[in-house]
Amino acid sequence: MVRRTIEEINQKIKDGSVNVVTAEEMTALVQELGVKEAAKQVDVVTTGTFGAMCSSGVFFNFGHSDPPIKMQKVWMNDVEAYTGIAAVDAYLGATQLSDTKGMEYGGSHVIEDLLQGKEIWLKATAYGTDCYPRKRIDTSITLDDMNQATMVNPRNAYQKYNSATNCSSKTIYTYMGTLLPNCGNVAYSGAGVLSPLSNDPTYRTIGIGTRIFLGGAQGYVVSEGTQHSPSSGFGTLMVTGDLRKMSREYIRAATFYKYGTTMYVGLGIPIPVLDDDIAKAAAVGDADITTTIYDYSTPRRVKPALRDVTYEELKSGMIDLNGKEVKTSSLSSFYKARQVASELKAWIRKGQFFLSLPAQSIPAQGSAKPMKQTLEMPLIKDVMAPVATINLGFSVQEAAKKIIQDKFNHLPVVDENSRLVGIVTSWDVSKALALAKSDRLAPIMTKNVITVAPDDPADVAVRLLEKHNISALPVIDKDKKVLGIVTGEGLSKLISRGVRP
Amino acid sequence: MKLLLRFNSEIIKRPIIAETVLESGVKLDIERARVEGPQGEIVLNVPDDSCREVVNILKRKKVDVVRLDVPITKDEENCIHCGACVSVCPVGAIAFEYDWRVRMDEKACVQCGNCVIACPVRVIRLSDY
Repeated sequence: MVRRTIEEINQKIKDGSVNVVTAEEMTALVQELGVKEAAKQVDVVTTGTFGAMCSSGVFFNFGHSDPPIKMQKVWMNDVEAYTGIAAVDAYLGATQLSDTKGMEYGGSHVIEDLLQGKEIWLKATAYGTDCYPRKRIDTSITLDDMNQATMVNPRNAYQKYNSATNCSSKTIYTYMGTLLPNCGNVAYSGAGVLSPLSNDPTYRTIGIGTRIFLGGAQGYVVSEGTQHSPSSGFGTLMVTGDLRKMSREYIRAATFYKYGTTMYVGLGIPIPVLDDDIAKAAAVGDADITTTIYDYSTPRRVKPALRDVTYEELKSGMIDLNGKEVKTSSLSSFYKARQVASELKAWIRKGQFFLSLPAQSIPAQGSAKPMKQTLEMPLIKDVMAPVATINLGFSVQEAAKKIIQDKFNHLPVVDENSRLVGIVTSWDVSKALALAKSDRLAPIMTKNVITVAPDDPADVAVRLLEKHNISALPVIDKDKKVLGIVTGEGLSKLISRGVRP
Repeated sequence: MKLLLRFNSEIIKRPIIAETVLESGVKLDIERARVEGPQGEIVLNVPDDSCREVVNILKRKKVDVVRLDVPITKDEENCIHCGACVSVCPVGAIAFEYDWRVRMDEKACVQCGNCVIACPVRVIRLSDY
């Protein structure tokens, strides 16, 4: 069994005799030579990933103005940064949107502009104190003008990630990109064979203080990332590095349509081959890493799972979903992940990057908890109102009578089996009577009815009413039987009474 | 050859595609069609050797015809080759190459615009004709 120390590896880096391979090359090498021989030959395995990592941002220190200001609110190119810390310190998050440009420009775009040497407009307001009298500042500033620009990303380098599809009949726009209707495509993320944490899943060499590649510069692991869930294979890392040394080649601003901004981060971790076990773990391949495809059209924390799938299948471009061939595509860039792993390999070979042992290890077990919700959100069945229905065979006249009699504005239309087939509003009925065009309900009713289920949370109804610009939603069960109705009016009454949907 | 046809309110109600098929005898492949209010757009795929004939007939019928030589462009320098555009393309015009670069087959594009919206770094543009 091979045994090496970090000091021995660093000595080899110094004298130029170190043998480095990427995690992809390591997988092939172990297949060819076996673990023992590969472990003997290889000193370091480099990993890499390049994906959208929302939980990213930068701490800035702008320097003091004269007279000085204790910033209470601060904007960089109209994107607000958090300054509830010392006077001229602020944290700019990648997903914060511009006050003026919305989703097309956010915190990540400010970071990218700074990396390109562009001037950005800094605006801050304050209440003014005896020591910090200034109440407002407006100035243009570049990355070189800052004292510090320290990237601190609370959650990066997800070990692997869920895959997404959309079983509904409408296209949805998510943080997993555009998802076509009727399971029209599958989106996935993660570098698979090159993923840093998948190559050291027991956290033997990756821990607090490990030196890494971050955004084209040297960075460090701060700790486990937020929502770190190693037990289920969803480990994460909090990482840090100096933005001023990074490059736009490895840090890119992005917008997901109708979702918001995020930042692509290039991150790579070298794994020292200290013994056979580490070599074996670093030989992981795409076929060994399994994830699950979920239906993202269910806007709940727990989404319906469709099937398990390996990264090998996902990367083949096509997978089988309920007997149908469905196209897959990634959101993270495997091309760039390879570039990260190769660049890190080159640094180590040239003696520009030395390995470090963790100062403290990161938990290899544990799971993230869901949010504790003390005010339980009401469900549709708690907020729905009873509603009268009308049979499709009835006339417009009879619908008018029913609306007047029951004082409802909306009248769901059902077939002979009491299944929902449409809806008419008092407006539809008045119009039909005024124009005297037809006495039948079918031509005047809305056939494509947006509905909710009794166990959906009430805020699903609020979102649907807003999204489709409608005033009511019939509540139906699995057999399309009408159970009640949720109206915009009804929901606002609840909110005014203090029930928070 | 792909042709982008624009119909104005004067001609939109006429069965122009059917007439053109009958007059030319050419099998026209409709790749995309969108009618919004009084205006409409159709992308046709026409065999190269009958293109001139079809264009002449359409122009006589007052259809605005544009040849889609380069329907779409991708800024290669700024593309991060993530692949977000690959699976949303309805005609399979976008794919990964052997080295995991994203390659676009411009000739197959029908200008649906799905990839333009899906691109997180905004490097895809439909050509403006």
